[in-house]
Amino acid sequence: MNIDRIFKQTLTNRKVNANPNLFNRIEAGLNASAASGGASAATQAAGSVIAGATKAVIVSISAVALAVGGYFIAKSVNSEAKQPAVSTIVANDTAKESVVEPVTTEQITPSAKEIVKTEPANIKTDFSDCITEPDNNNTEIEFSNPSKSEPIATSQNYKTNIEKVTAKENNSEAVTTNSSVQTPKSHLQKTETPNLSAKLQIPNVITPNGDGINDFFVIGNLELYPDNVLVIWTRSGRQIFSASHYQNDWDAQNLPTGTYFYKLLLKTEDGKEIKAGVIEVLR
Amino acid sequence: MEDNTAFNMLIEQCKNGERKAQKAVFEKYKDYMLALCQRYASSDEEAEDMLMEGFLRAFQNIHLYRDLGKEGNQMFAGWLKKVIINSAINSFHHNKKSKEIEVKMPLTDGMIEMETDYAFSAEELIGCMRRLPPLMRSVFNMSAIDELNNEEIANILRISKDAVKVNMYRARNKMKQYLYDILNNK
Repeated sequence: MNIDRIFKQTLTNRKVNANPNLFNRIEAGLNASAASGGASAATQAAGSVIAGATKAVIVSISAVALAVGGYFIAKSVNSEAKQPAVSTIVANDTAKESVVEPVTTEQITPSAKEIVKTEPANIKTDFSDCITEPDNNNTEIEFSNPSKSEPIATSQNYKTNIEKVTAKENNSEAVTTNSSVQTPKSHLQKTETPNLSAKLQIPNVITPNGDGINDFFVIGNLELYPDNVLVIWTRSGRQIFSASHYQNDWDAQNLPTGTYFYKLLLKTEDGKEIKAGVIEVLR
Repeated sequence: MEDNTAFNMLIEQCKNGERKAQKAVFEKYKDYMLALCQRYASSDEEAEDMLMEGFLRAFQNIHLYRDLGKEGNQMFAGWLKKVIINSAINSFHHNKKSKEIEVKMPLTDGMIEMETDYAFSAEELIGCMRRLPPLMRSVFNMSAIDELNNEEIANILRISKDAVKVNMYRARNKMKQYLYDILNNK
């Protein structure tokens, strides 16, 4: 008998007793979507499921962007006097999930949302204030979801992380249609320039093909932090490399082309610092 | 006939957002659809989530369902099934990152035969299903059991038709392996 039929004859029109209480959850979902009101009704009128889904993505992403922006403002206002301004970059622990995961809408603090809602015009002003501030030297940028207990990656190497954020945003078609998403992005990119030179330069790609160019995972200025630990994982979370006092000598030997994740622990004057990111291996 | 008229009225009520009607529709199809979700999901919990998501989507978009013909009953079941499959696939799409990988494989549509008299139970078959990687599982489900053609599958999964064939071929091979595993353990 062929394999397909074995499955088909047993599994077609099969029934499993489903818990009737599941309807309560469906009802809750329906109530929630009814409450979210006009926007979704309008998209439904448009008549296409796909259009509806896309719209929902756009709405949720822009909401996240706004809220994150709002959070940034809230944070920077709070800390203006005493601490350097703080913004936010998030790398997920495994860096597997999207930074602008729509789910976060619900998790963002109400205060952030309020700020965005009531004073949308302030976003720009506040941002540029933060950026032009002269004593920005020690500014640390940290993109974190306020509801997460600790930011997983803190990085002075803005570039890679920002690029990641940008790339993620570009992937979702939403960006082009929503200028408010782009506003924080472009401002963030400006902040990176002044203090990069003194900091680490972590590449996001290596090409270990023996041509002498980018053959090793070389972290620029690592000698500034002799006490360091580097750990590298595969995409499935298997640890494939670890070293304390890393000597810039990892070349992904015997490993296939692909994406790997690293975490770099540094001992600095004011304590410990963890950097995490993605490294692409191309041959 | 009587039944269909009543059913069509039920659907009309659902379109007006009446909870009682929605609940009745849910009660009517939940068992069948849960069995379907179990084939696509990696666990029973995930299957329940899929079921819930699927019904939610169906009720939200029920105004798009128009075929109230003589056999409204069956038509609706088909529509609901498609909505639920789509929604199940969606959760899987969400996690999908990689671009399509070029595959060089024999693109045979060949069936794979197996000599056995043993009647596998649904649980055993679902168990096999869950050992497959998600993409293969979806393809196998849609093709072998839900009888979608390659083009439809390619559209839903946003992969090429060749990729569907390759996945189907690999899935059948793996399934054969898994089924023999069960037999050998008897």
